[in-house]
Parts: sequence; structure tokens; C-alpha cells
Amino acid sequence: MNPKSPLDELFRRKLSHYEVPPSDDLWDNIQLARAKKTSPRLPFWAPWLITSVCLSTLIYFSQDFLFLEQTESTSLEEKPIHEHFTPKTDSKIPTPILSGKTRTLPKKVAPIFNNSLPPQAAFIPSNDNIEQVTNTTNITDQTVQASENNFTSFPNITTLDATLPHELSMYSELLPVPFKKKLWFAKIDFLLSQDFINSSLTAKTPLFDAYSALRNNQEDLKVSNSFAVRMGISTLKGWGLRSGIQYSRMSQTLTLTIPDASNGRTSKNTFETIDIPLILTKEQSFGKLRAGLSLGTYLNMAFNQKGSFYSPGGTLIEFTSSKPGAYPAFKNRLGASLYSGISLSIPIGNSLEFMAEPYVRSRIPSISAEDYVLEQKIWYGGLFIGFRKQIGKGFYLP
Amino acid sequence: MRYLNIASPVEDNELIQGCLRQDRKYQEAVFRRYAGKLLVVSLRYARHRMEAEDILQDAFIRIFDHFDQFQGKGSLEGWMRRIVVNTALKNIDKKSFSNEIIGLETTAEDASGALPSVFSQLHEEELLQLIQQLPDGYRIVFNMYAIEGYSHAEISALLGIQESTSRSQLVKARKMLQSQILESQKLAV
Repeated sequence: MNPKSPLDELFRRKLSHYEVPPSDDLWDNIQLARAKKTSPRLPFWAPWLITSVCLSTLIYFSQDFLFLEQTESTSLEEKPIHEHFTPKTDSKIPTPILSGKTRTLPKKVAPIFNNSLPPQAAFIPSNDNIEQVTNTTNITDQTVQASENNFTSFPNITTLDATLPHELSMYSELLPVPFKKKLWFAKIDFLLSQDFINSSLTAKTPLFDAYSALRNNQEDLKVSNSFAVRMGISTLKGWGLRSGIQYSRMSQTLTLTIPDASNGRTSKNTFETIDIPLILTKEQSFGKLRAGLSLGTYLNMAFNQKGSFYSPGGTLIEFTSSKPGAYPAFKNRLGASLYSGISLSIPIGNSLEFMAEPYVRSRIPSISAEDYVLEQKIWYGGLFIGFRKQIGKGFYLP
Repeated sequence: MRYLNIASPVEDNELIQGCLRQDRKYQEAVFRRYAGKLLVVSLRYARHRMEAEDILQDAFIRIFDHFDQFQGKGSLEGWMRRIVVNTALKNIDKKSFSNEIIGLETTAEDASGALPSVFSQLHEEELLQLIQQLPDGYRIVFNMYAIEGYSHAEISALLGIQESTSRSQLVKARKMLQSQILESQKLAV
């Protein structure tokens, strides 16, 4: 308790229980202001949730559209793939055109061939079947379906490597109608990351400049480890959309020293977050190496924390979430961050790639921490390393 | 019934539960029960009533929006008072603390002796007016130290000023209040 002068005591005693009735319309104004503020609108994290659900649903139901070898291309198993299609550099491919005529072009051959694409992805039409394949001018939905069934029974159908889908665009004239619709590939990433975090605190008002300076001086470099699972779909041309879930655990060691206090104290703080990424990617192949640019956003949800820090008032605040009465500043705190990375991958097996993705991520100030007197600006930098697995062989959107 | 009859013995716990459910009846009951006391808090920090009501409105919006952050450690009133004070502090210009009032001597010792009896005869409304007439810096520090009970170290950290500035502003505030009270009594005589 502060030593009080009689004057202080006089004011405190007389005013602490004194009441002044507010104006009649104050309650109405509060209701009005809250109604405006809470007018129905989607929460800012809704796009992540909607996209994740849509993506998961799409991938789940697209199983019906996946070109699984065991059901659709049993005939392929009768002969090795290289017997279905053996590229020859001087061979000529009769190329169908809509007029019904055929022209012969020097055949460009995709550098890698295997059985990882759907049978429709590329084929060498025999003379007997060429008319059936090329006469697409009057194709209806039913005939498309019928054509697809026929294609799967072609004896000389082969497939192209899905890891180089953009290469297929040069064969678009060869592809049947269904293939000219967007072909999508579903992939799943398993990634681990070591992250380095740099944070700076600034006061929302000049009143808290001293407090932010104190915190900035006390808080050191933080390190975190993350594990992420991302699912995504991508097009032949390398455009993709990925979402999933990421768990991160950030560690921080603080030596807390309050001004005028004789002793400091060391606190080891940890913060655990669950993040939902939503990332747009564009990838390109360079030989076996596949490189891409990833841009997107993260929804950050801090769900568990342990440790302590100093409040603006200078008292030591315990914020361990499991302790009763812990300071709720970070409890279920939502935030968002911007993400950019460069993905690099090389194939290491059937539909499996090893990948590395250096990245930077910057936290957008949390919208749910209006009461917090400081604005936290956080930069993350790190390197994701892991594997990417293609699911199935590709699918058309329904 | 438009809102809960707050004259009835509705416990704070019941109000808290209702507010946690975002039940408007209970929110209004909380407003009716505490708005008068909280308006006095905002009046102490504001320069005039209109500003005080703006502060109180913002504070109540924050209270109802973040009711789930009330931990129940202290009283509901104490928690709401802190929010009103924090809301008031948000609107304060730091420059207020550099304004010096010419004519008031700054000394380490301030009036700590017994007050003349005339002081205790002052009504609450008069005391409130005296506080409101103080310059911004004096008013804030006096409120935080004398009435809210913050230490100079805490005020220093909260306001981003030196502790010596806080002490100096307090001494000046007390001197100004005393001189104003004595002046008003002279005029009354």
C-alpha cells in the first residue's frame, strides 16, 4: 500500500463509493455500438476453414475419379510399360485435328515415362482407333463416357510421368476430351522444420513505450520446432493450393529483471500453437529438380503456453495456461501470418518426392488481442524438410 | 420486465454467468448496477462529462466483448474498474506529462500534515470537479497513485514516464488541489 497523505485519503474515501447516474441514452448507445461491431460477418479465419474443408472433401470424393490401375488398366499389366510405348526420337506421330484430317509432326517425347499417370494421359492411337479418338466435334457427355471406357481398353495406351505434368501440355492435341478438362493431382506433404523467430514489441500508445522497451530488452531469440501435414491439389501447369495443419512449439528463455528490483529471475517460456496454412503454389520442373514458389497465409491458434513475464504494472505475471487463474492474454489467441517459401523437390520413388522448403513468415497483429497494450511483430524463418506423396493418379473435378 | 430488477438480491455470480452467455438482460443488469460507480472513475480521468461517458461506453463494450477473460479472482467491480482505467489511459497524450505549471514549486516534501477541517466538509461532487480541473498529467498521476493505489514504479511503467516525473506530478497535483480548496473557501467566506 502506498503511503498516503490525508489529502489522498480524503479523495479516496469520499469518491470510492460515490455514484453519478449516467445519461439515459448511454445503455442504448452501448447496445448500438456492439450491434454494429458484431454485425453478422464471417470471422477472419473462416476462409482457412472453408478451404480446408472443401479441399478435404474434394480429395475424399475424388477417389471415385482417380485412375487406379487395378480397376481401369488391368490390360496394362499384361505387358511391361516400355512395351506399350517406346519412344523413338525419329518416330512420327499422326496428330488428329478436328477437320478429320491427320497431319504428321515430329514427335516430341516427354523425358520420363512410367505408369504413374492415367491411361488417358497419353496414348498412341492405332490406325483402327484414330477416327474414334479424333472425331470429337459431336461428343456429348454420354459419348465422352463411352470414349473413356474405350480408351482404357486400348492395348497400346501408355502413361506419362505425373511428376512432369506441364510437359504434357505440348501433347494437348493428342489428348481425349475428358483430359482437356482440368486434370488435378492430389498430394500430401509430411514436413519437419526448425524455425528461428525474431520478435519486436511496440506500444500501441506512447504510454507504454517504456514497457515495450523493457520487454524488448528482456526477450531474446526464440527457437521453435514444427511438424506439418499439408494436403493439396495441383494442376498440370503446376498451379496448386495446399492446406493442412501444423504444430509448433516455441521455446524462449527470459531473464526477468524489473527496474528497482535487486534480483532477476530466469523464466523458461514455451508456447504451443496449431496453425492452419492456406498456400498457393506455382511449380516448374528443371530436369529432375522441381522448384516452386509458395505464397499464402497461416491461421495461428495459440493453445498452450507456460512461463511468466512482467505486466505493464511491473508485477510478475504467470501465464501458464494449465494453472488456475493464469493470465489469459494468450489463451486461445487467434492470429494470422503471411507465408512465403521456395519449395524444392526431387523424385525418390514411385510417386514420392524428397522436398525442402526454406521459408519466411511474418505475423499479422492479432485481431483478438485488443486489450493487450503491445503490438507484437514476429518474423519466422526456417527450413521445412520432408516428403511429398502423390495420392492416386490424378482426377478431374466433377 | 425490460431488464432484471437489480434491487432484487441478484448475486454477482448470477450476473457473471448471464454475461458469459451474452444474455442481454444480465448485461443490462450489470450496467445498471455498476455504471454509476464506473462513471465516477471515468469522470476522474476525463476533462468533462462528455469525454467520461465516451470512455465509459468504450469500456462497457470491452467488458461485454471480453467477459470470458474475467477470471473471478477478484471482484467483478474491481475488474471492471481496471478496464475503465485502462480505457481512459489509452486516450491520454504523453505530452501531458511534460506540461509544467508555472507558479507551483516542486519539492520532494508535500503536504502530509493534518488537513484543515474545511477539507472534510467538501462534497463528493466538489472533489470530483477539483480533480477534473487539474492539468492532464497531474490528474492522471493523482488518480493512479492516490485513488487506484499504483506505486510510482508501476505508474512509470504504465505511462512510459520517469518515476521522478510521476513523483513530481503528484506533488504538484496535491499542492494545486490544496490551493484550489483554500481559494474556494476564501471565496465562499
